[in-house]
Amino acid sequence: MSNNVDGSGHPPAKMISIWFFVSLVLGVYGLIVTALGVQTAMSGEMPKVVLGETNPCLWWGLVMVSASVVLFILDRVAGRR
Amino acid sequence: MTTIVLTHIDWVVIALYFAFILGIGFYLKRFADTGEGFFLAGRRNSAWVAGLAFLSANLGALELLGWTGGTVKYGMFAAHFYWIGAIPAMLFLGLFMMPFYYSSRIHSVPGYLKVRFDERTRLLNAFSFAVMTVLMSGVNLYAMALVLKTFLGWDWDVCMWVSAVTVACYVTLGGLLSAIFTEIVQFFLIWFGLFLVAILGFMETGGPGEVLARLPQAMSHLWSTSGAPESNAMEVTASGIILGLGFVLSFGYWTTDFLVVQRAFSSKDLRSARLTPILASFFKMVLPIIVIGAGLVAYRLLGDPASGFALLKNSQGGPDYNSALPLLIQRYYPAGLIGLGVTALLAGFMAGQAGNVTAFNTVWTYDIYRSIIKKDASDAHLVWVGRVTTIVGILLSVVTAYITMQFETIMDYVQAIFSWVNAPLFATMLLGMFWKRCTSPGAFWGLLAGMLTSFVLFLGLKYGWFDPYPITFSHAPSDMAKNLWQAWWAWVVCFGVTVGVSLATVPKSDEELKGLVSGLTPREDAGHVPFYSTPAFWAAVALVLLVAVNVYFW
Repeated sequence: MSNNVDGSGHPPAKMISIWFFVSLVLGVYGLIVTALGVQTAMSGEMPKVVLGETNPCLWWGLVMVSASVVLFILDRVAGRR
Repeated sequence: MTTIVLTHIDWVVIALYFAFILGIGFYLKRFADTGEGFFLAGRRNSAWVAGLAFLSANLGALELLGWTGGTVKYGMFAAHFYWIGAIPAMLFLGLFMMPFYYSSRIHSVPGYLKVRFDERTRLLNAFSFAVMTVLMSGVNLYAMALVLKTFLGWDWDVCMWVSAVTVACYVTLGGLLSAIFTEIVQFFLIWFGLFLVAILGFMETGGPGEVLARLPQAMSHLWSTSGAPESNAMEVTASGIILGLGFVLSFGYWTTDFLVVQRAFSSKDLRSARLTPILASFFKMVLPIIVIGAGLVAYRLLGDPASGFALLKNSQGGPDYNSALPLLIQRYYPAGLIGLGVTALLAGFMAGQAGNVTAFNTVWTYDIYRSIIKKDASDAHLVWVGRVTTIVGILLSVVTAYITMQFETIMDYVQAIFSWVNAPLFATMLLGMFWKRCTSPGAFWGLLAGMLTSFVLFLGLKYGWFDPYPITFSHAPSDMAKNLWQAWWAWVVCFGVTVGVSLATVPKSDEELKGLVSGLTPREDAGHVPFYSTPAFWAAVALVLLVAVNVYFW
């Protein structure tokens, strides 16, 4: 266990930072959900759930992708410091 | 209700999660080959990582389902469990108790009892904690299977074994490090998987202001209706909330329960360890946005027959409040998002189980196995024991889950065990850390007396052995009020007996207590740290926010 952290949650040596994993999960899920939202918008057939007409997959998927990108950038920036 | 139907894409979302956490376990195995690596995640974490894990270890799916339902039942009173019932204790842990825990380089909370008092006090706590964690883990497993069977129509056995084997794999491989990584991923999944329920709910019902305005007086305030039990939906008084919940239960849980405290032990230095619960307190304070928010939406929809929203019935024919959150997911989420919501719940269940198992394997290995079975065990041997204990712990959880399936009343007892174990322990810890005159016999007999008091009160109140009024200040107390007062009296008895026996016995010398007791522990010089990076500053900010939300919802 020689690789210590640098104080920001980023083990600088070999261990991949936890924030990378979080960013990865949010990114993958965000892309899947957004793709479903796009498919829904293109088909024009809104899901049969309450407020389905707002196409929550589309905007919530984009929120998740944005969060993933922000976390990824913060992780890179903090890792470089 | 009809069960929630999953599409192929929902299954993909769920399967990806399982693949992901197993991958994390395999990846982290190389970093968990020493005792400190396996049991304490190498003591390498920053305050942010440890803080999120600290909170997430407590943030199981049972809590999410339970308190969303609790809000439907009690209204805003449920928020007491997130604010007065958590934040002061978390801040106290960070500011005042963590220096003694962290600086003594112990592996567990029972380990502190050993160095501060003696072996028998440690064993008393270690055994009771081990039993409690296995039971909790089993009940978690049972609850998960119940939820998945009810809402998704999944098979009991498949649910329990798939989740048990998955948790066993990644904890056996990566130890606490795996548990912490998955807990943090779970924290984000819960926010992104379930926050949308509250958002869509408020969009449908006209917003939080509209929902709050329609709540009855007994449910819409935190304190102004707590003068008498009959004035609020929880049927407790302000004194019950403050003494039972805000003081004993909350401090007993957040400052002594090794399940959460273990996460702070994984911090890289003392300042990070002290910041761990303080940073976690901010995340705890905002959780009601999801839980209370969804509960208020469910309450509002239940009051509107045109909404078509209705809770399931429980086995006694009454409303099953725990069904509120899954029913809201079903109401609002289309394909894909359903998979995400179910994954968030699954992640919560499995992280709760992993949290219990990591705490269990540490306490068993260091406080029972090394203490009474193999005192000269090598570090490598202890890691091996930890891995075996993980698997045994999971198997015991599965057995507990099957027993619970046969005897559902076990659920009632398990909730009460928190009061038996944690409430008196807080008195022991408080006296141990802040009163150097506290002796080992005092701690042991006080802890034992407190645990027995809680146990007898639980049985007495449950089976009507005596009039509840002298204990609960109500002739017909709710279960919640009984729990709170039972914890309070267990604490009082433990405190009183510990002080009494301590005054009659010989204390340890100052030399022996150095680093373990207030006044005998030198302050660690952390070098120059700007004021805005100190635990005290962030604790003050958290306290101001706590006061603000309580005044706002007074």
